Amino acid sequence: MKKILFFTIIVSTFSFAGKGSIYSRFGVGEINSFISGRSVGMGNTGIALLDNSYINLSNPAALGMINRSLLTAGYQYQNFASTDDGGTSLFGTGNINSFALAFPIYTPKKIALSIAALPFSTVGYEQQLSTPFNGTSILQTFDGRGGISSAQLGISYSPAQNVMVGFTTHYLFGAIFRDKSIVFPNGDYHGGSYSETFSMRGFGFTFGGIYTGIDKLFGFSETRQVNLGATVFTGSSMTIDDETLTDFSSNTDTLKQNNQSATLPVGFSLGLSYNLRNINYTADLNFQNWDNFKLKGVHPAEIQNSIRIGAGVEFLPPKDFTDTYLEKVAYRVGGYFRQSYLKINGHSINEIFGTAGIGLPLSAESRMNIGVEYGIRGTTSSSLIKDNVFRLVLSLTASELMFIEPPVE
Amino acid sequence: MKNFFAGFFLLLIIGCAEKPKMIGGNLVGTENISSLDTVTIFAAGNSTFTSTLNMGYATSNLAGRTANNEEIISFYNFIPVHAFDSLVGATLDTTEIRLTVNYRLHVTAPPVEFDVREITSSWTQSALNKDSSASKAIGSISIGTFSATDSMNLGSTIKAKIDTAVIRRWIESYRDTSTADFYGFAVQPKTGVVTGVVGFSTFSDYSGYYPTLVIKYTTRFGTRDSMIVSSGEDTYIARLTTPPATFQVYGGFGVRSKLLFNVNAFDKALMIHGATLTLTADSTSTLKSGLVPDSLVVFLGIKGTTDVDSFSTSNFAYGSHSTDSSGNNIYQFDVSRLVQSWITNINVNEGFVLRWASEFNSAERVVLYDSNADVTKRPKIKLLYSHR
Repeated sequence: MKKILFFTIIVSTFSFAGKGSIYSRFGVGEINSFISGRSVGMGNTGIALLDNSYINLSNPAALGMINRSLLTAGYQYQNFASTDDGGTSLFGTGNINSFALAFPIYTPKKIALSIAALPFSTVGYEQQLSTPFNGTSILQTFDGRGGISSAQLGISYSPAQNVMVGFTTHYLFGAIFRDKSIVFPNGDYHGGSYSETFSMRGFGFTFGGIYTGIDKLFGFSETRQVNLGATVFTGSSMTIDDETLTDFSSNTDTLKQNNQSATLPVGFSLGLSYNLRNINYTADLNFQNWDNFKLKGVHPAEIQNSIRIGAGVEFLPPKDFTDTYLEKVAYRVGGYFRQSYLKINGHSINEIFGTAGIGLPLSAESRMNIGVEYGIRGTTSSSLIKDNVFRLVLSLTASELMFIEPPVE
Repeated sequence: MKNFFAGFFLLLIIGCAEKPKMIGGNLVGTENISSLDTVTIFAAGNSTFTSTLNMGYATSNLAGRTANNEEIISFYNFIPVHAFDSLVGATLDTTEIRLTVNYRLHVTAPPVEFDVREITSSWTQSALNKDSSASKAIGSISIGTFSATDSMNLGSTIKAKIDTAVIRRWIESYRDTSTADFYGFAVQPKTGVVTGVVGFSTFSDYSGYYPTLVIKYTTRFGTRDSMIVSSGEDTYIARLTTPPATFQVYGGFGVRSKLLFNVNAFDKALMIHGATLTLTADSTSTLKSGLVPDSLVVFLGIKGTTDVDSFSTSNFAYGSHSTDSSGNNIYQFDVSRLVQSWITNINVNEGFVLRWASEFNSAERVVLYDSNADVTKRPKIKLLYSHR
């Protein structure tokens, strides 16, 4: 367990940055909607989903259900087919995208802790532009990479029956690298490049709550369970060190602007989960007030409020030890719509995704969740790009009685 | 747990990323696209000065006389590598200095003639220059002559017989510490003869045609022998009678120029993609041999404590001769890096220092149109730049 923990932390630290959509050149990049390998198959929903066998990173209140130590790590492969009026580009990338460890502290009060690292946003694009010059053309290349990661510590607590609360402290950090280069077709002129590095850091908090007594309020039978969850992300006031290295005619010049600021805005989420026998139904609504986003004191014109609506269904296997392997597999399906925080050329950049997934038991202590997403982002009208996005998420979860004192016989 | 560990490794191994094709040019944003502009700026001023240069280690040791009756004198100090034992009691039959011509400028028939004189004070090739006191310490008596019959063609070796008594004294200065020091020979153009400048191969020259002192002698046993000395120090000094009045560079004499441009109006964020400095030469006053590269070099001027001619030896650009569409003789330099450093305040704009590229090995003079000249011939920089 210790080896895995160490290994996972090291790998996760270096694996969050990667290439992505050209839309990630705006704002702080493509905002991550990943919650867990399990929730991917359910339309990335789960604000109100309670289970003792997985770490719910979307709502710290849900940690209270954990009764064993859990370790999970996720791998994501993305494939983009991006189309504009100039053609279609295919691009694939894969990396470890999350790590989480959670363990119960005091189960009667549902006190549990989680430690996690996952991307908050990802920047990854490369664009080229050819412009005429002296009967030939010069090539301007724009390249971006990096993103913001979240190292977070969550805790849950149950102050009353049917009520669980929790909060997560996010340390948001990372760097966004934006390069621009100019290349001339021959050696008569000097090209040059600008390399800008935004190093960002700041704290943010997510408060969450789940109410599990709705089914009782409405007098549902015991086979039906309805949970209502909500979270508030406080936003973050981040500090930015902006360094631009200009490379021209064999000279270099560095311009530093330290202690600039970026304001990540407040976000709200509401979730509902409904369990009927071995079926979970989930629905989430997320809103983030990106109208208040500011980068170095300026609100970028292309940034708007974002809304996300998702729903999913999970078919859980019956807990019968005599079942065959296939009968122990969980099946999931879902989808979501997101009005992203981008509004370019007067068009909101919207996404619609369908998702599916399965949960495979690997042993009594571990499970692999496989989720796929396929969706469309944007449009080719108004000189925009339409991304056809396919994502495959593999998530491994192991459990152990670590930190738990065995009962004295 | 083993499954978890194995699975994690598997995920890591299959992680991949590939470079995408290029689309999305429409989303670059006009504010991010660099547009190119050109502008021509003219020199804001110029000055010409004479630097004090030590010409030792040049590959041509110059000697001659200009049309303005300005002398160039070369200095030689032969240093024997052999013992003089064989010369003890010997009779010096003949002694001569042999020099090989490797440069000539405006030498017409009859050729330049030189006297050989004894140098009467200490000097070194690394320190002697036109302003050194030792440069004036040349004996008044001619101890040998490179005559008019000597060919000054390139590759020719010219010879001057030297008074054997002088050579005997030179030998004794090495054998007997009580003898007065000997400081070598100066090769000085004869007064009033045809003008021109000749360059001789030096001790530093890789060609192998070193200055040579040949001593032929008869030993005390009556046998005849010779000794050749071809190592030592050499340099030359060249003095102008009056400071140069025009915008020019003059090799050999250390005449350089300073050229000023005002770039204060340019934004610091400007990226220079091309900066071509064009200087136009006044062909009527220019002297060139055609034997050395027809090039000038500009250095980035820096603020010296006392000198106006301080420059950065690591920031320079060469400019070669060409002819423009109007038939003007021009020199063009790529000064992009230098101008960029002014604009971005990497270096303070102290102008350019301009000199003849083969300044140490030739006596070429290029007179240039200055900042007050007609706009078509004025020094100018054509800039190609972009904003971020």
